[in-house]
Formats: sequence, structure tokens, C-alpha cells
Amino acid sequence: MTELQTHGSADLVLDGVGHTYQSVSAPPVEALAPVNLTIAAGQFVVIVGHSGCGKSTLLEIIAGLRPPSRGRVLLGGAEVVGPGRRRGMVFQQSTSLLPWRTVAGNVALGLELQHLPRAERAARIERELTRVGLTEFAQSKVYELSGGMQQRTQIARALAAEPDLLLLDEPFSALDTFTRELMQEELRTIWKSEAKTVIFVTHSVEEATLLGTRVILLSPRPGRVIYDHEIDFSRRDLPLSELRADPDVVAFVAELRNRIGGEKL
Amino acid sequence: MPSSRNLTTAIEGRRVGWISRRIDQAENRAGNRRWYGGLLAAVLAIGLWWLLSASGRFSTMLLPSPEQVVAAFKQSVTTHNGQPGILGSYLWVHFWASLRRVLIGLAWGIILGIPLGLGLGLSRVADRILGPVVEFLRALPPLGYFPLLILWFGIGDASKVWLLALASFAPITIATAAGVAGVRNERVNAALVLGANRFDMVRTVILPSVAADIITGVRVATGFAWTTIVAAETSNGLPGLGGLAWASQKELRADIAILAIIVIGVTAVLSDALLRLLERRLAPWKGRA
Ligand SMILES: Nc1ncnc2c1ncn2[C@@H]1O[C@H](COP(=O)(O)OP(=O)(O)O)[C@@H](O)[C@H]1O
Ligand SMILES: [Mg+2]
Repeated sequence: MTELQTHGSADLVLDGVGHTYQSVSAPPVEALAPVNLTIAAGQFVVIVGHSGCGKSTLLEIIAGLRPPSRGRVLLGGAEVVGPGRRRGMVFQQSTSLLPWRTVAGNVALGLELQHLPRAERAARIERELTRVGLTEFAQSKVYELSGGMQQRTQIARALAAEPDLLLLDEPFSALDTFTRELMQEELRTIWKSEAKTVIFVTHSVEEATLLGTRVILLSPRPGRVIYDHEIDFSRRDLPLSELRADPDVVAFVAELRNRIGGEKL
Repeated sequence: MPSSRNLTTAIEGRRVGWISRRIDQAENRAGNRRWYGGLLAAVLAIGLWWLLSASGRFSTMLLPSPEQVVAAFKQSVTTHNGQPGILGSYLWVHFWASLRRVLIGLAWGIILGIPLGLGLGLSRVADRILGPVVEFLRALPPLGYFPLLILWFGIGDASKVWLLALASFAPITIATAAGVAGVRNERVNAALVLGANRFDMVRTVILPSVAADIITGVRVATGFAWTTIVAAETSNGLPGLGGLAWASQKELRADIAILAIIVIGVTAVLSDALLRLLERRLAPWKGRA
């Protein structure tokens, strides 16, 4: 109900959100130091940080999959207490797909759970598969697809449910360079045509620079926001392959790399 | 001692080779070679048996020849002096009596085991409380509590079916629970994000994920059920393959015992193969996704 009322331009507010993993057998792990952020609707926010700095933890908290041990997440003023259909998620591993379902069957999952009428479901599946270029593979088994196609299926599945907020957790990190660049371009196109709020987690400063309208750097564990900056390279009317070589982009990538610490990311 | 050291290395080398060969086999569609192997083993065993019995060193009463067993088989499927088959029934009647008990017992084991396994896998409280009970039941030798079942349910089929249900539900429960515990977190999260409630989760993610694990449990339970039923049929088990094997002793008919053993063995191997096939059918992505 709350999500229906706030549907539309719902700002996302992280109010002192932090997380410590408790375990019976091991000492507690502080994964995420308290984070305060306000993310306006329509932004493409990229969260960058070293592996293990709490990026996935943060996304899971925003998705409502993990109650934070400190602070609150507010979406359009209402506290997030669980997952909701207005927030879609694309996972790092394509093992989040259901291997006993076809590509179309996977895209249909959220639509079935919403009990949408058959015709509506078919229309949305068609639309999303066309968008990600998988119409020919609608009836393929997902475990027979390439990694890039599996991630496209995940994106189609998330978009079919028509979320306002799309969360992506290192969605391209398991792909080869060529496929990754292709997918980055596709995601940029989708974001431009859909005007959704996107929160994109990556450990690649270049990916962050090319895609984001706002870059947030997290410190090593426990993750803290160490840098928060608005950019607009992705809005330039250039293919990513050319944007990549743009001197401004190259300079900003170098600056980010500097800020996050000399380590190779 | 360099020589013994070399020997160990050589053996370990062989072992590594053996292991990697096993893995290759598994990858190259396991079946074929195992079939040839099984066939070869059967041919060798029958050859050895035939040699031993033809050597004349053993009384045919104790070690009947293959021909005698074939004769017993013929007797078991024909009528003699108005008497059907062997020990009062045709072979297929014995077979069906045992198979029927196994199937009904297994059916109950499945009906009880799957929901219980899901419960144990999904609820930590249920696992804490009922898990040890299931483990305890599994550890008991079924024939140990069979007398109790006879007291409760009589010497007819009911006590045997109960025995099989109790013997087979534990492996099915445990396999199901282990399967649930092993369901990938990302799958569960994906469905949660798309709006799945608990019931949706079981239906769309958990059950399909553990289907193959359940069949593994059923496979273990089936093997268990056959060994158990044959032993259980030693009391009032005619018609039945176990009863047949047991009664042959009183009649001093080792040939009948061997016939019964062969039928039981072949049935167990075939049902195992069938379930393995089903297992692979249900999760063709295993090892790929
Ligand atoms: N379930 C868990 N239990 C205990 N520690 C965890 C758990 N999940 C993650 N962690 C720890 O929390 C830290 C942050 O994890 P994560 O959010 O996955 O980082 P990232 O996605 O940035 O790589 C890591 O050090 C990780 O080891
Ligand atoms: Mg992560």
C-alpha cells in the first residue's frame, strides 16, 4: 500500500544505515558504517568500492532483503521493511535465474507472482526480450546461454516488473571485456529511455564514470562514504567506446582511482 | 627407502589417474561404461558360479547349478500337478506381492518425508526439535522395531507396509531438508524481490530446486526398502520374494533362494537406474549453472 501511494518520484533516503554481521561462531563483522544519503528519483547512482567493503550488503538493505542493524531506509517517506515490487534487482551471479525455466519463463516470474492476466504477461515478456535482444532465445534453457545473455535475462526479468528503482549488484563483473562493454552500452540506452532511478554497484571506476550521474565511493570495510560527486559523461551523445577515450573521462577515472586508494580495483 | 617412496608415488599417481578417469566418466555421460562394467561383472559371476558347480566339489543341494536355477525359474512360471508356480504362487505373484508392499511403503514414505523435509529445511525451530528424531529413526535398524509393528498392526501386510514407510521416510526427509538448505540464496532473493510470499517461494523456487534431491532420497529409500522388505517377509511373507527365499531353506531348495535373489537384485538395479535417469532429467543443469 505504502509503495503504491508513493509510486512515482519517490526519493530514497538512507538515514544512518549501517550493518554488522552477527555470528555465533565468529566475532561480529562490521560490514557497513552508518551511511547517510539522499538519492533523487531519476538518478543513476554508482556505488564504487573495494571488494568486501559492504556494497552488496547496502544493496540488500535497500532492496529490503536484509534489515539493517542500524538506521532506516525511507522510500518516498515510508520506511522500507521488506522487498517490494517497486524495487527491482539484478544480481551479480546469473545463478539467481531459475534453471528449470526458459528465458521467457524467468522473465515471467515476477509477472506471475503479481497475478497479471496472461495477455499482459505475454506483452511485457515480448517487450523486455525485444529490449534486451533475446526474442529468438525466448524458449532457450537459461543454463545453455552465454554469461552475457544470462545477465540480459536478469535485466529483462527485473524490468518486466516495472520497478521505479533498479538495483544492480556488479551485474557485468563476471563477463568478458567485450561483452561487458556491450552490456554497459545497453544499460545506458535502457536508462535513457526509461527514466528510472538506478543504483549500480561496481568495483570498476571506469564503469562508474561511464554510466553514472553520481558516483559514490565507499571506504574499505566497514564501508563509509568517502566521496560523493555528480557527473554527466553518460549523457553525452557519444557511444561508450568513444566516451571511454574522452580526455575528461580519462582524467576523472584517474581521479577516482586516486581517491579510492592506489590499489588496482 | 627411495624404492618404497617411488612405489607410493606410483600408487598415488595411479589413484589420481583413477579419480580423474572417474570424473571424466561422469562428465562424458556416466552411464555407458557402467553398463558394460555391470554386464561384464554379471557374466563373470555366472561363469564362476557355473565352474564351481560343474567342478563337483560342492553338493548341488548347497550350490545348485545354473541349469537347476533355470529349471526352478521354469517351475515358477508354469503349473505342476495343478499347483501354480513355486511355493503356492507363480513367480510374478511373488514379485508383485513384494513390489506392491515396497511401492505402498515408499508412497507413504514420500508423502510423509517431503513435507517433513521441507519443514525441517525451512524452519530452524522444526529442525532443532524434529531433526534429532528423524536422525534417531534413521539410525534404528528397521527390523529392530518390526516386532513392535507386528504387535500393533498384526502379521498381515499392514505391519510390513508400516515398516517400509518408517524405513523410507527418513532418507527422503533428510535428502529433502539438505536440498532445501542448499538452495542458492540468490534464487530465493530474486523471488523475494519480485514479490514472492512464503507459499510462492516453496512452489516456484524451493520445490523445483530440490526435486532432484528428493529423487536422490527416494533412490536411497528404495534400496533400503528392498533390503528391508525381503527381510520382513521372512515372517508370513508368502507370496513374496523374501518369503520365497526364506521358505526355500525349509524345503532345502537353494535353487529357489538363488532365483529369488536374482529377481530381487535385478529389480533393485533397474529401479535404481530408472531413478538415476529421473534425477538427471529433473536437474539437467546440475554442474552447469
Ligand atoms: N552473511 C555474512 N556473514 C558474515 N559476514 C558477511 C556476510 N556477508 C558479508 N559479510 C562480510 O561483510 C563484508 C561486506 O560484504 P559485502 O557486502 O558482500 O561486500 P562487497 O559486496 O562490497 O564485496 C565482507 O567483509 C564480508 O566478508
Ligand atoms: Mg558484492
